[in-house]
Amino acid sequence: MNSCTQLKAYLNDELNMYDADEFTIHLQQCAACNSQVCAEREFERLVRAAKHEFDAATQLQQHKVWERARATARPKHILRSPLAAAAAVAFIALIGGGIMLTNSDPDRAISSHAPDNVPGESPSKESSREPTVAADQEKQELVQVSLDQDSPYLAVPVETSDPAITIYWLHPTFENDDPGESPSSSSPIVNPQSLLASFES
Amino acid sequence: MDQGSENLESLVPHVLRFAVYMLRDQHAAEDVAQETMLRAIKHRKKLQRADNPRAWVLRITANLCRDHLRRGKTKLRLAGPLPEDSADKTPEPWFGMLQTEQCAELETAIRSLSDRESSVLYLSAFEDMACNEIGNVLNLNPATVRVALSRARQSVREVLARKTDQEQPL
Repeated sequence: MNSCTQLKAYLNDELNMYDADEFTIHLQQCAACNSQVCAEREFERLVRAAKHEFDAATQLQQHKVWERARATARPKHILRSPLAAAAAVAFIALIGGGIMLTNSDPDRAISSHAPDNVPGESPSKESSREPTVAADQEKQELVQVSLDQDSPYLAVPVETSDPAITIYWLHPTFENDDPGESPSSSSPIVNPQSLLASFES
Repeated sequence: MDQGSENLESLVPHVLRFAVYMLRDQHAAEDVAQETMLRAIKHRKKLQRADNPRAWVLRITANLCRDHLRRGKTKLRLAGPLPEDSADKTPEPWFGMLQTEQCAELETAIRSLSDRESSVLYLSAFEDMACNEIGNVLNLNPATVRVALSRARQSVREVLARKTDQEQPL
């Protein structure tokens, strides 16, 4: 068998130990095969060197690529996580519910708002403003409207973007069982006719 | 950092190196590598189930590189005939950022190969991949890979042997 034909098998480490030894002897006599083997070894050496140098030179780029990929992927993962999405919905519901409760709680509103400067009605003399009330809350005042004597309503003025327009939100109040603790003692009874007249004016 | 992230991060050098090799453009290679890693993060579970995660991400890299090269060719075609001076323009050296003599030698040897032979040789020599793995990455038949690899090695050996003979005259 011509040993030159075994060159490819030798380079691919496909020869058994006996044939490999024979081919090593052949290499000492055949310049062509020897040159090919040397070129193969040189190629492997160059590959190793290039690989090492490239990895060393691109440390920064590797880190940058990884960080950028992670940063791009992160927000989508948060949205896709069912637990995180549920937590976000619960948080929004809590905040929204808290705001609604704050706005619709009559006791809290009565205690923190003074019923003065109601259009078409004089303010109550007994009413006193608490010093801790915030300035923006002072604008929203609470008055009690009596459509008839048995069912009083709370009228909450809501300011609009137009300062000339004020919307009143009417809300039925509790039964007036105890006259001593009635909100009428701190809130004036507003005649709806006078309220309407103020609207018309 | 969890185990999965560490595994993914260890794939970045392979991806970036292969992208630079295929595109010969460092910035484009970074973009491709980033996109590859982004897809790897998105499909992390699929990647963890894969037999060979490195082959999996290198296959994505190869596909993205091909898309990038195809887009580049389309852009050139749409832009009309090339200016005269661009005919002499050669692509950036493979490891342009290194500029060492060894890399220049390697570049010379590899430039004589076709794209397929070059990719097959890279995956074999740099990534130590077997023929079936290479076929998986490049979407080729293992037999085709074997033939391409044999030709590529032969071609590179001839270039390097010629160079060695020139350096050592008898």
